[in-house]
Amino acid sequence: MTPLLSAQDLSVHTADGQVLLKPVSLQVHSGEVVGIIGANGAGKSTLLKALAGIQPVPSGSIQLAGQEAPTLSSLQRAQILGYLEQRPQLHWPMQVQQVVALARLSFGDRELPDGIAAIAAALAATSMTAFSQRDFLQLSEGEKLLVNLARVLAGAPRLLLADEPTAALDPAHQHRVMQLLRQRAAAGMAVLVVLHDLTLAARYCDRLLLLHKGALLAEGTPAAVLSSANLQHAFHIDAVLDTASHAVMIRTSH
Amino acid sequence: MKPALLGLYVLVAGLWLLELASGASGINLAAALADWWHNSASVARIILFEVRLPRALLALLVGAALASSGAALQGLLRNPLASPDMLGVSQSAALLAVCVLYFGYSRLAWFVLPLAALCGAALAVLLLLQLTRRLASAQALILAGIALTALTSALTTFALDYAPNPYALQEVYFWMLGSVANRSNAEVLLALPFFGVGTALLLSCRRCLDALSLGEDTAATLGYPLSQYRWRLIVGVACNVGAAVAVSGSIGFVGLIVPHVLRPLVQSQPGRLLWWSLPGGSALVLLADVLVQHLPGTQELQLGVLTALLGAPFFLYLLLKQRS
Repeated sequence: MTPLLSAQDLSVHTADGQVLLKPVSLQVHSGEVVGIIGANGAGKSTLLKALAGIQPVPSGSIQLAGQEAPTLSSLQRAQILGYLEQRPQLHWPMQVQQVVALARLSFGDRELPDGIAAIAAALAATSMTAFSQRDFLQLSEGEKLLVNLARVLAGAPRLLLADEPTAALDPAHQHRVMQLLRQRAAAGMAVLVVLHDLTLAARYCDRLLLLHKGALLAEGTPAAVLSSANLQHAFHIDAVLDTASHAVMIRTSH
Repeated sequence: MKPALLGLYVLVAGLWLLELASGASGINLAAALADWWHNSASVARIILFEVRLPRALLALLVGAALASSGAALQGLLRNPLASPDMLGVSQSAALLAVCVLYFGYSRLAWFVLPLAALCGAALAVLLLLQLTRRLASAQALILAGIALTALTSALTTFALDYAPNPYALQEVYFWMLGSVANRSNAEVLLALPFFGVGTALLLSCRRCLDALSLGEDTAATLGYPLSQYRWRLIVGVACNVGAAVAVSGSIGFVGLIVPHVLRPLVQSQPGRLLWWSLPGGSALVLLADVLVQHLPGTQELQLGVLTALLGAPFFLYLLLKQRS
């Protein structure tokens, strides 16, 4: 089956030559939830931004839905790919409903029945319908993140790139968001998600990519990637994955 | 069309008729129109078509151009304090317009004057975009704009002082404060193509401005990367501000007040705000120009004096609101 997202030898460096990402290759298929994990500064967000087309990629290639990414127009790309940023920002006081409606810009149907239905469904899926008339800027950080998730889902992307979507949420909402991503994957979406919480990564991801100092250290099932040796190497912690509870238990740290 | 927007257009139509009816010499508009219809020459007809009509048309066009440019700049820079005159865009346009006008270059071709003003405005917007990347806060950008305004205003005075035309310096008030009085139909025709191109370019960026509400990165993933629209916005603002300044000087605060007053009516959607700012700007400049003609005094006030009297306290209010 053709992967929805495929990248070969993707590398990123700054203008002054500092390497942010060493050559990384990956594939994400429809129906999969793939997690990107790693310590702070490992290159997780850089990789996601490179795949989303935000970060310039000096070398390597990306294919989206079987097509070379550079051959797609910006609007075509927006209809395939949804990007959930780490820190949602909005520069004007807008209603939640209007923020979510921005996902339909590339379809041009914000005020047409299809667009309105997609916006309502996305608000319902994230339990944010009751907030639809509220000012986005007055919401808590967690609520803002859920609205942004609704905004991405309203665009009905085939591939979702999410940068730490659970970072500002309480445990109940963390699980709610991850369950939602799993549901979307079951419906055919491909999900690539950056996570800091290793237990969430173990529980909800089909595969994991472990980044370390801008390079891919390990790739595979959570059980294979979250080995004690990898955790020691990447995070400098003495920890073990309990496969029954999907919990990563730290024994000591230094 | 929404009732509020329709109401705004009705207001513009009413103010435009009021502007046509205003003036130092009392003429009968119906008689002037009848003279025009019967093709008979009369003083009333000349006053209506050669004096009041260009003034009313310029007030309409300049207001729309400045307000839409303000709305576009605020959306582009994601800064509610941005406007062509607060950031020195209008004054940069005035500087280049003064240079070509008073040193004789405007005689080379009809488009040299508005083109020079356009280049001045474009250079200022480019500079501001560079500064936006380096200056973190909205207030810092405004301070940079104030510095640019002071510099270009000083250079304009300097250029007028050194111009070969001995009367050039007397026109410093026109370039600093702006006015649509004593303009001719030739000036309307001069500016019209630039207004047309500028407004069309800005309106073509409506969705990009909406997407930019979420920041540059997210706008790119929504299908509207700023890199594809940046030049359209810069040239659009430059055309509108350049043409407005070339024919009416630097009328201040229109680009600041109008988007702010209208923003709540469009639920802060920058694309929709751009549409609404067109009639909103026309209404403000027409109203201000009607007022300057009716205020008591031996000499008519410069239009820009009145917009500054309205705009400066408004700007202070916005600053205080931002701080809180």
